[in-house]
Amino acid sequence: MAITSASTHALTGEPSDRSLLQGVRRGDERAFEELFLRHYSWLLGVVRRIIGDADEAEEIVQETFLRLYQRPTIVNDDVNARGWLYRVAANTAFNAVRSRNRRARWSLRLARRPETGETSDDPLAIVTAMDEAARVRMCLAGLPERQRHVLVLRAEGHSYAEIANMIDVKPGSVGTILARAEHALRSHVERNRHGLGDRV
Amino acid sequence: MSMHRYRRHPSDGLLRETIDAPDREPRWVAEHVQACARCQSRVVEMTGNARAARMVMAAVGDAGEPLDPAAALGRFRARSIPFRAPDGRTSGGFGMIHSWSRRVPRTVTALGAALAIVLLLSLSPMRTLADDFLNQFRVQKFAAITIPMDALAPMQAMFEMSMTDAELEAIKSELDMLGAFETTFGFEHDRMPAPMSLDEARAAYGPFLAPTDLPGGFGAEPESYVTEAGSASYTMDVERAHELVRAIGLPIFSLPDPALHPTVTFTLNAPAAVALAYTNEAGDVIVVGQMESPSLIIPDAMDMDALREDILRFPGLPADLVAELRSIDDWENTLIIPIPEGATIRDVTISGQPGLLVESPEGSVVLWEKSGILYGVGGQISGEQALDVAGSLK
Repeated sequence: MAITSASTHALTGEPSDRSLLQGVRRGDERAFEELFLRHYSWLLGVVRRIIGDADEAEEIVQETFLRLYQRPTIVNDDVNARGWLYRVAANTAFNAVRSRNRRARWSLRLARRPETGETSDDPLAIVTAMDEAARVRMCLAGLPERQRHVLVLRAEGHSYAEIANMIDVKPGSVGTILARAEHALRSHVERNRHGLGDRV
Repeated sequence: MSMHRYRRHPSDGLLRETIDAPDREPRWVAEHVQACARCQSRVVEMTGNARAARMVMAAVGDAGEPLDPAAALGRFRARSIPFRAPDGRTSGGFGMIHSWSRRVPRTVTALGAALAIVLLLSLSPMRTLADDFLNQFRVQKFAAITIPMDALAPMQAMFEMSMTDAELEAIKSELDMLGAFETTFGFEHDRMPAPMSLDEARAAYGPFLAPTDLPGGFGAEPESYVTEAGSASYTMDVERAHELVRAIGLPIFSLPDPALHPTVTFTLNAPAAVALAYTNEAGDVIVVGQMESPSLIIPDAMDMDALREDILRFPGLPADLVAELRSIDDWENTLIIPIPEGATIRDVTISGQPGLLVESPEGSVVLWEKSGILYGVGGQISGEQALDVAGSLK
């Protein structure tokens, strides 16, 4: 994981994210390209973690940059560019995971055995039908927004200060959110223990 | 160190930070924990949670191959269109369409496309006013039918496979000469409306309703779009139409007598419309649209019942679709809403008016009519959320 902070850019003489973002808002194509090249790989890695599917992840990241490219004025000058990209891409990815879960429920309902009347509405049955990573992603997507962001960014190796900056909370709040998130994730996983039991 | 510090328990956040970086936290925290059984227990629990979370998150590590950002930028360039103006607005709104076409759920988009197709095929909005010369149709209520989205493709395939290329070319040429099409609608990209503020939209459109209750995360200030009123008309040479029908062998019997009616003109009048697009940070969109009912004017020379039968007999039209269309008793008073496979429909009531709610895993749309105005609320939201937004229009 490589963090490219504003201060790092200042030291190397590279333009900061903020100045690039201002350029993008003015229609500067080079500024957009620089921002794209700077954040693409990192963002793709985060979204892959959230969603699992590499092609879908790239689609989401491309969509995120397309959104910035088409309507840069929706991003304020004082916004953390990486944080904005992260929040848009991550929320889209979590929505996709939840949508996938809903489809899985529908499929399992359709697949119920009519001769026994057995229904697959039981969350446990749905969870056990997925592989381990899918189960984790489902649990993660079910957490409150800030909690899942903090878990993902922490897993990506970001510091508390960086996380605070990206999700726009006070630095002192990150520890509290993280503690709650870890407790909630553990509880979620323990409830859906099949297949994950060895891990917790 | 004072007893005061020992009595003050550190917050969860501070304890959690201490677990990650014990050297960087205030010394009093460590001293307090050392002396406080309760906080020791909290630290043990948090440490266990942190370890479990770390292991669980490892199950969803990024296992994908790293991608070359430059190559990704090339793919981005290939898919994006250089239409952005320096102020960030898309030129002429083309970017809006491009963006919406990707962001609005496929179900909603499919609904619109299917709606256009069925309207063209069935010509079945409501007839509220029929004078001596015209059949004038306005929309006042909705009915839903299920249409496989590719249901009409086999029709075209069957039609085309039954003819040689030369015959098809001849028919296309005949169709070009069959009539004349005129419109005041701006179909070019640069004539699409540009986004504006609510106040600007009210100034351009007049009074309209806006939601007072939106799901969490959706901004209160929408991008507003106002389309101008317009009309489209098609004047058909009836004699040529008879010739074409005979040449193709289509079972069409509703065309008028060319000796009495050498030409017939179909006119669609669409009043101005306003659409409010609310977005959240993820780019999800809720669209609230409203317009007076468009009217479709069909010359009295056309026998409407015969026309309907012609449409229902059209070769290749799926039998299930025909059965559904036939099941609509009050077909002249009903706008048919095609429903994609996998979606469900529900009759609902909005502000005392009957409406139709379409729900699918990708999103929901609710449609209703009140006092001559058609309303629609749709987007990547649940049916209940769509109803809440619809019920809050003021």
